[in-house]
Amino acid sequence: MIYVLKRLLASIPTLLIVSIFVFVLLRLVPGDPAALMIGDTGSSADLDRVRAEMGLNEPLPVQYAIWLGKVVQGDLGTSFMTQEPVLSALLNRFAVTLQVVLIAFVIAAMIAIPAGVLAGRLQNSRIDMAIVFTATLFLSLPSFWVGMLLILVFGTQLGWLPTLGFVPITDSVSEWFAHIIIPVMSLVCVEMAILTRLVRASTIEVMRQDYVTYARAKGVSETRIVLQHILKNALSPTVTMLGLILGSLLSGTAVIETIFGLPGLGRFLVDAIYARDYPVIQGTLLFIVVIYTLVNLAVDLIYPLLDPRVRRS
Amino acid sequence: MTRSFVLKTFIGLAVAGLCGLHSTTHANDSKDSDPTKRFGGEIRVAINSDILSTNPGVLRDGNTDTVLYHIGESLVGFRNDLTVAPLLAETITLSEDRLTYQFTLRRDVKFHNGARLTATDVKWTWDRLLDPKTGFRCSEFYNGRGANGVKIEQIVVIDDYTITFHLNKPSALFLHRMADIQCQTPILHRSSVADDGTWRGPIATGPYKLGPWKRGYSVTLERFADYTSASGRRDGVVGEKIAYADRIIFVVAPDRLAAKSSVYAGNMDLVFAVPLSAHKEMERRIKQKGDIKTYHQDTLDWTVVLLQSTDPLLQNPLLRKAIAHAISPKLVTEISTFGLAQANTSAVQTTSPYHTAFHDHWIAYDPAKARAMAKEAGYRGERITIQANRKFPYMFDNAVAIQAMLNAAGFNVHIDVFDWATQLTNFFKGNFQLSSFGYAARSHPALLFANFTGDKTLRQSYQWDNPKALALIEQFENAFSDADMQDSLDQLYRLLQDDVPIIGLYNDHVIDLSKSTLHGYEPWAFGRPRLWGVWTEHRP
Amino acid sequence: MSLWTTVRSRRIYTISAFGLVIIAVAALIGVIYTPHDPLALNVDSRLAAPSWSHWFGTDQFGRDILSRMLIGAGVSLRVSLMTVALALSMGLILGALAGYFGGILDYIISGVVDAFLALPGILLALALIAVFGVGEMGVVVALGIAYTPNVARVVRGSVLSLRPLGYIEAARLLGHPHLFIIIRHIIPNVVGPLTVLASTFFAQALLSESALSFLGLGVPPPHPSWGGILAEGRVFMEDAPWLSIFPGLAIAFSLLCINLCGDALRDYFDPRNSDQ
Repeated sequence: MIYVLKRLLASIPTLLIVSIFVFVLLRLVPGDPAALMIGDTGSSADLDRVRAEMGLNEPLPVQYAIWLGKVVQGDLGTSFMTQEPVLSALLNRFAVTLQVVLIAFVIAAMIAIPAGVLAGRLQNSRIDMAIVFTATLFLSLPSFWVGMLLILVFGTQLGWLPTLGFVPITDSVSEWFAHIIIPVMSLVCVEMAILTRLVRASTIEVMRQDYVTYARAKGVSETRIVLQHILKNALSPTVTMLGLILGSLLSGTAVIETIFGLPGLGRFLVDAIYARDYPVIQGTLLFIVVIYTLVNLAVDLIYPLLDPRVRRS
Repeated sequence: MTRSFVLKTFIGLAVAGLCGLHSTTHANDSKDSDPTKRFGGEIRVAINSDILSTNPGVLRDGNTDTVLYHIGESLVGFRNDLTVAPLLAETITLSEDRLTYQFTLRRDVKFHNGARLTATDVKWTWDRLLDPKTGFRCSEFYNGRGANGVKIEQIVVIDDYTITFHLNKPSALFLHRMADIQCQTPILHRSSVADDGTWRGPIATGPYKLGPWKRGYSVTLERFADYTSASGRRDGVVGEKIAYADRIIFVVAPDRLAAKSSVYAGNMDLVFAVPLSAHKEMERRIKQKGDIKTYHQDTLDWTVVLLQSTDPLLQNPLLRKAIAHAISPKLVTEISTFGLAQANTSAVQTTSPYHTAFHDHWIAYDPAKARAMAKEAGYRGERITIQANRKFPYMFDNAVAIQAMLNAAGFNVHIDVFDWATQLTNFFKGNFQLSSFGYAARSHPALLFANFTGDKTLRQSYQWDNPKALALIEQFENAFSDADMQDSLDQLYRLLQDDVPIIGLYNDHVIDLSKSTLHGYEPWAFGRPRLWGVWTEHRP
Repeated sequence: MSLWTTVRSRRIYTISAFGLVIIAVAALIGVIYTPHDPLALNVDSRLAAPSWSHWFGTDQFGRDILSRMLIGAGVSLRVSLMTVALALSMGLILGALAGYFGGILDYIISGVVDAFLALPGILLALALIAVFGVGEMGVVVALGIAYTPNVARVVRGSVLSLRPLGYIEAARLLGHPHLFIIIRHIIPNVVGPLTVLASTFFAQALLSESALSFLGLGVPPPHPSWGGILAEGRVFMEDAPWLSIFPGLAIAFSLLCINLCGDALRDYFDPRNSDQ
């Protein structure tokens, strides 16, 4: 418990660095949020008034202090564009991204773990080559290209699935399911590729360990070796990487979300960057860093449970 | 106000009388026999970004405007030909001194909450709009501080159904501004706003009322059962409005190509402004499968290249003229719009009645002359940049075509791609040499000219800083006759060819796409959908 | 065992190395010669299907896709290479400083690196491009900065694992200056992991550039990157599929070759993973 607290405290400087960096960066970005707000219909006088409304005429340190003061009280401000409270908007978007990413992740893991172990055990065989080649191929495809192909095949040509938009599970389970299949498939392609390669590498590593050789010499069945030794030991380094991958995935689905019209966190942030919606960008990036920190903390806590060597020390 | 006369709008079409109470003819009579016609169901329409708010004219963008003109109605509105007609008003009369407008209201109008529309609601709405605290984006139209100097001095309720607006000076464009789509002025019930003045939601008089708005996903509009339609043909936002569908769902779909696919897949009923690049493919699908329809429309959006006359290089009018000789607007239009749009070098839109043959004439495309003229202007191959962005693909495509033409005529032009926020900020600061740009739809050419003409020391976003032009623009407010208006517009266009602060390219062409089961849909010059009078076939 | 033997050891490595050579040659050819002018508009031959005169067809401006892709090969490779070079050099400096000196410097650098690691790469790049301007350099700097923290972390880890070995201490006792020790003793030891990392980032940079092009902020014209051609061609997916198929294949093929060559490098520097 104390360990958890300590870790959380240690992340505060990181959060501060990120927030200052993001704050300064945004002010360096050319492009005036007030100009976007009024478009070509407004005048320069409007521009000044809107800037004042947005609090953009204050000196920078003052703007930062005001923002930070509110953040400490749990208030991330309101969006320039929509006047929506940033925190609630953010949580709504995050819920969408989380669903898609987690489901894709579970499916990817179910394919990648057996495939990776198989490839690792049969290293340099034809099967291994085929698996590695397939995984590397998937790793080599631009995600929007995969997304477009999936829309073309399943939406336009076959007409099996809706290709656009999102329906909350609370509205209709079947509609929800139909809408997330294709985005999930696009994500699975990439995640599966990364995971397979990782599991394969870990398996090869474990196979070299003495205890596997020893177990084999003792005449333990291959199935038991795989289940008891290889899987268990190969998974622990994978889990560490999972944390990193998951962290980046949660925020990195911007492209997929744009193509499929999912109201997720990545698109929220991209839209905000284009709109120069400072409160949204600052709030979202801070939120992402917090999530990232928490996921890695969770991984560190789970890790000893999986890896006996770490537990002992 | 001794003797009132029936107002004629400056375009010369009588406003009053067209909308008589006794007229009951339905232009859609022929369609009544259409067996597919039915009430009920829902229409799903893709919009490329979520609406910003439900507060008309205050927190707005194009999609917000589109959703809100289904919910609210102003005293006046546009017809398809962009003339102004009464909407909630029944008659409009203008005093002889042209300073007082008297509106009589239709008596059968109800708000979404069941209350009857009266003149006090109109006054309340306008007092709120003119209150600086409301943040109405176009308060400059009416508060005397705008370029036109027009101010609403007083709004007086005469009786329950009569109200007068008193202006400080005559304004031929007053009703036009009132009908504006971007600066909507729908009459609202006071319960739209909480006691402390904060916005609650539009309680208005339109054929649809606001349903659930799920931010980032969709906005749903529900049929207003008690809506009493005005009579007359469905025209613009006036005339007969029948809400066939129970619900209109605007679905947020940022990627228009994906939206197009979802019409193919049958999940969406309508996508407006599909990328023109999909034109051929859609035509093919209509021939082969017949499960979609397309609708073509020339819009009011004006696509241009801006030339910065304060730039050290481009301040030379001769060089600007040389550039004009090097660019063929016809060719740019052909390339960027796949031949779907017509070139238009004048701020007078192709759909405008003022777009006479005179406005089709422009500086000749002549690369050899351009080269000679540039040399004469002292151009020595200095680097010129043209700004563009990828948010609006046509601006990018225009820039590519223009770069190729200019370089072919001996110029040294480079494209600088910015994201839209940066380019727009540069536009406001006048910070560019050439900029591939587009002006959003203005309902009247005079409003478009007024938008880009002015003193650059006052506002850097003015493109055309010429006192003569400015004087002509001031005349607009007095141009109550057609001939006066035509004359001012012609003179301005002639002057534009001398100065070349802007090279006009074309008025945008849009293609809307629907499933073949959608009926009664018609595009109009604003390039945005109207969904009254539209129904979907019953789905088995 | 030389790198050459590793590449020769498996047919797939040999093929991918050969593939990389082909791509590099294509990029060089693009600099010297293209069948058509890659920038010239030609209204009469717009969206022409692949034919004898236009092997890969033409785009909406009537420009020859093959010529554009030959030029684009150079642009894409150059952007990826410069990105990797930038990330490696900045990461190397930061990581070496942190690992070598330790203490407060390490604390600060690690803090900053951790903070940046948490920020999503593409989105960070998007914001940075807005600052540095859309352009080849903007993309390079933005992606370079986005990848730097990963490099710094690996380098710092390697340096820390070297410290207990003692010869750094020995060099210090001999009075060698810090810079000398870093260049002489530390850098050679991190070359292995860095080379592997470089191959990964090279692939990543190519992918990220195409994603940025899709989001509208990739390398701007006149000279197109593959990602840019693909993103532009996307709108004609059904009408003129060659516009997205050929650049898509080019990207997939080069990434496949790069990733497989990366595997070969990994085998070479960390032979435990292969069975030699």
